[in-house]
Amino acid sequence: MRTRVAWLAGQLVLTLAVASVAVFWVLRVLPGDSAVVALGVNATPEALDQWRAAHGTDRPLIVQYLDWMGGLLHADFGTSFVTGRDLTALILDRVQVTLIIVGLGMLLALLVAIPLGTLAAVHHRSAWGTVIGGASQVGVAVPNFLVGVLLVSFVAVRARWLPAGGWVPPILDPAEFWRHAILPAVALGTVQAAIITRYVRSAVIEVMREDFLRTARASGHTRTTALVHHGLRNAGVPVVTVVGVQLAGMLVGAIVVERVFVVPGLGSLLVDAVNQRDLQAVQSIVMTLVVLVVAINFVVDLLYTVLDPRLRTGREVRA
Amino acid sequence: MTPPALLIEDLTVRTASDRTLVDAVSLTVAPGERVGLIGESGSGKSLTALSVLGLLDENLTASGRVDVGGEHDLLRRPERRLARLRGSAVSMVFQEPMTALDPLVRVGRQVAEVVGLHGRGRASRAVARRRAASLLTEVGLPGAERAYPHQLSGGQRQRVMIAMALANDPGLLVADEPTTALDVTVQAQVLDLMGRLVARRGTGLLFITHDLAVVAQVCERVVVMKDGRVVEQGPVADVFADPRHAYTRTLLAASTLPPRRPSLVEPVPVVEPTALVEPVETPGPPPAIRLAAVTKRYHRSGGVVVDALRGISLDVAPGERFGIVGESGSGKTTTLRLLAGLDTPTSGRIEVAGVTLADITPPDGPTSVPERRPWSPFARRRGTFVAGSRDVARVRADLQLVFQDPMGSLDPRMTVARIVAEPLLNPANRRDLPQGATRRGREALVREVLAAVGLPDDAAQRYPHEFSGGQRQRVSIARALVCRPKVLVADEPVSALDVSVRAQVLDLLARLADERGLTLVLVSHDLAVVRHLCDRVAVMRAGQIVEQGPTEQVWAHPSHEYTRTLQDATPVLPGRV
Repeated sequence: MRTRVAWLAGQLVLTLAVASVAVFWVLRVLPGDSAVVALGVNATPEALDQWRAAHGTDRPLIVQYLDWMGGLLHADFGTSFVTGRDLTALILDRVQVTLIIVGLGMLLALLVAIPLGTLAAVHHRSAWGTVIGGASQVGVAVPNFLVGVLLVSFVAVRARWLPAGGWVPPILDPAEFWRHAILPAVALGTVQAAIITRYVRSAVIEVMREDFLRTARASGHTRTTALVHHGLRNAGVPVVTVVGVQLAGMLVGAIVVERVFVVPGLGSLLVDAVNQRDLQAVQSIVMTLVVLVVAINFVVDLLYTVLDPRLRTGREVRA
Repeated sequence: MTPPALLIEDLTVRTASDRTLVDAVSLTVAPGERVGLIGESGSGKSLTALSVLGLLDENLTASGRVDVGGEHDLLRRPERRLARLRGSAVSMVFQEPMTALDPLVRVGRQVAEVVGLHGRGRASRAVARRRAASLLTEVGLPGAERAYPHQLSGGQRQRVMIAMALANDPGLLVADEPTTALDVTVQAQVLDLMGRLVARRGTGLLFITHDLAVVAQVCERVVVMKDGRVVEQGPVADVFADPRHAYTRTLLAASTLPPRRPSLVEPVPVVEPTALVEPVETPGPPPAIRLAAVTKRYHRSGGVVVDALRGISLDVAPGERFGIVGESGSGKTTTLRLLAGLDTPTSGRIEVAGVTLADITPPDGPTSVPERRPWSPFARRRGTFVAGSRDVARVRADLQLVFQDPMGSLDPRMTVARIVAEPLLNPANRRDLPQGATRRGREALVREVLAAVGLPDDAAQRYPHEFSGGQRQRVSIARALVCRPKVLVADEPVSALDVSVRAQVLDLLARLADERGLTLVLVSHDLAVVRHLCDRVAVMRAGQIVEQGPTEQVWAHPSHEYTRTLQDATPVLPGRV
C-alpha cells in the first residue's frame, strides 16, 4: 500500500515537471511578442527593449523558465505582463470559483447518475430502462452552453427565481452565493449526469452478470440487497475512472458556462490572458489547470487502491 | 415421516420463445442422501439445480413442483421468501471458485455475512464473526478471515464457498461441478472435505458433474440427464454395473480411455538426458524437440522471483507421441511458450525441428558450447545464443499449437475457411507450399485439411459459433495442420470437451499423427488422456520433471511419489482401470 502511494506520488511529480517544461516552451514558440502586444505596433525599439528588460523576457529562456519555476514552487505566479497585477492572488481567487462550480456540478451529476444508472441497469430489459437509456442519450448530445442559455431564459429571465449571472463569494453572503451558484452548477452538471448515467448503467449491468452476485443471492440475498452489498462497490471502479476524466474535462469546459453566467472563474481569466498575449498569466493559469488535473488523477488512483484490494500489493495478481 | 431433503416433480424450464430446456424432470434426495446428477453440456443439469434455488435467469420460466425439506412449492414463492430459504434451508456451491467470491470483501466477512443474513434471532456481529472463524477452521483454513479472495488458491476459495454454503446447516446442499476447475489432487481434498462435512451434518447433497468417476466416489444414487430429460436413475453401483439406457452405456464407455496400443513403428530410442548434464550425442536422426537443462525465472515487481522451470531436460524423437502431465503451476505452459518461441529461457538449450531456439549458459553454472551468431539482435552476453526472428519463424512453421479453449481460440467474426487459411498468409509458413500464395491454392489446402479432420464440406463458409465444442476443436486442429508442421503441440485439447466427444478428438489426433508422420506433444492434467495417446510421458511438478519414461511403465510402476499421488487422486470408475 505504502509503496503504491509513493510510486503514484513519484509519477505525479514527474508529470508536473514534464508538463511545466511543455507549457513553457510551447508558449515561447508561438508567434506574437508580448512586448509588441503590450506597447502597440508603433512602439519604438527602445521602448520595446525597455519593456523586455523590465519584464525579463530578454533573458535566456532557461533562465526565464527557472525563474518561473522557482516562483511556482513558492506558490508565486509572478505579475501580469499586461496589467502588472499580482497573478498569485488573482489565480487563487479564480480557482476557488471554478472549483466550486465544477464540484457542485459533479456532485449534482453523481446524485442523479448513480441512482438513475443503477435503476436503468436493473430494469435494462424493461420499458423503464429504455426510457432512462434514451433520455441519457439525448442528454449526452446537448452542449453545456445550451443548457445554460435555456436555464437563464426560463429560470432567471421569465420566472425570475434566480439571478441570471454574476457571482457572490460564499464568505460574503452564503444565501446570495447559493442563489448565484445553482444555475451554473446545474448547467455543468446536467450533461455530466447524462454521461455518467450511461457509464453507471453499463458498469452495473456488467457486475450483475458476475458469479459472486449469484453467490450472494444463493446465500440469502435478494436481487436488490445483493446488488447493494456486493454489486455497487464493484461497479464503482470503472465509474471512478470516468468521473476522474470528466472532472478534468469540466475544469476546462467550465469556461463556456462561466461566460454564459458571467462568473469570474479560471476559464474567463485564461481567455482574457490569451487575448492580451499575457504570457506570464497564460502559462501560470495553464499550469494551475495541469496541477488540478494531475491531482484529480492522483486521487482517482488512490481511490482505486482503496476500492480494490487487488491493487494494494502494487502488482498485478494473477489467478 | 421426515420429508425428503429435495423433491422435484415434473420440473420443466422453458425459454421466453417457448423452447423446452428441462423437460418434466422428477427426482428426490432423501435426508442425508447424496445424489449425483450427471449429463453433458446442454443436458439441463445446471438449470435443474438453479431452479431449486430460484436462481434461474429472468427470461426462463420454471413450472412443476420443488419442495426443499418442509418447505413446499418453492417455484411459486416470491423472491423475498425464496431469499430467506437460500443459504439457510438450501445452499449452493458453484463451479468457478475464481469468480464466485466478491473480490473486494475479506472472506471472513463474506462468511459472517451469510451467518448474519439468517441469524437465529438476528445473530449479532460478534457472534457471526466468531461463527465465521470456526467455519473457516472447519474447512481447513484457520485464521484466513482477513484474506481477500485473490490471496487464496482455487482450492482454498472453494473451501470458503463450502464454509459459506454450510454456515447455517442447510438440509440440502447443491454443488454444481464444484471441483471441475481444480487440479486432481486438490479435487480429492475438496471432495473429501465436502463428504465429511455433509455426513457430519446429515445434509442432503445434490452433486452435479459431468465426471462419472467423481459421482462414483461421492454419491449413493445417480440421476442421468440427456437433452433436458432424466434417462436413468438408481443406486450408483447398479447403474454403473448394469446401465439400462443406451446413453448411460455410451457415457460409461467414453469415460474410460483404453491405454495406447503399442505403435507398430517403434520410435527411435533416444538417450535420456539428465538435468545439467550435456546430452550425449546419439547416432540416428536428431530429436524433433530437445530441451537441455532449461530454466525459466520470472521477475515480478517487488523483487518477487518465480522459478517457473528449474532445469528440465527432455528429448522427443521424430514421430513420437509425447505426453506432459502436471497440475497448475507445474511449468507446463511455460514449457510450451518456450517451444513455440514465444519466450526465451533463462538458461539452457532448446532445439525444435533442427533449429536451435536458445542456448544460454547459466550465469553461475557450467558452460555449454557457446554458439554465438553475430547477427542475432538478441545476443546478450558471452555464451548466450538466442535465435533471431527468422529462425523463430521457421520453428513456428514446423511446430503448431492446438489450445484448450475451443470457444476462445477462434475469432468469432471470421469464417472457418478464413481461420484455417490464416497461417498461410505468412510467407514463412508456406515455404514448402508454393500453392498457398494464391487464393485458389489456399482454398484447396483448406478443403483438404478440413476433410482430414472430419468436418463436412460446407463447414468452410460457416462461423465458429455454429459448431459444437468438439467440432470447434477440429477447426483448431485443421488450422494447426494447414501449413504441414512437423510437430503438433496440443495444450489440454480435450479438457473443455464432453466425455463423449473427448475420445473422438483424441483418436483424430492419433490418426493424424500417424498419417502425417507428426511428432505429437500432448499436455494434459489427466494421466488417463496421456496414457490413451502417448508413447512416453514426463510428469512435471513445480518446474521440474519428476519422472519420465514409457507411458505404460510410468503408469504401472511409478517411481516418484508424486506420480502415485496423482494416480491415487484421479477418481476411477469402479470395476474399470
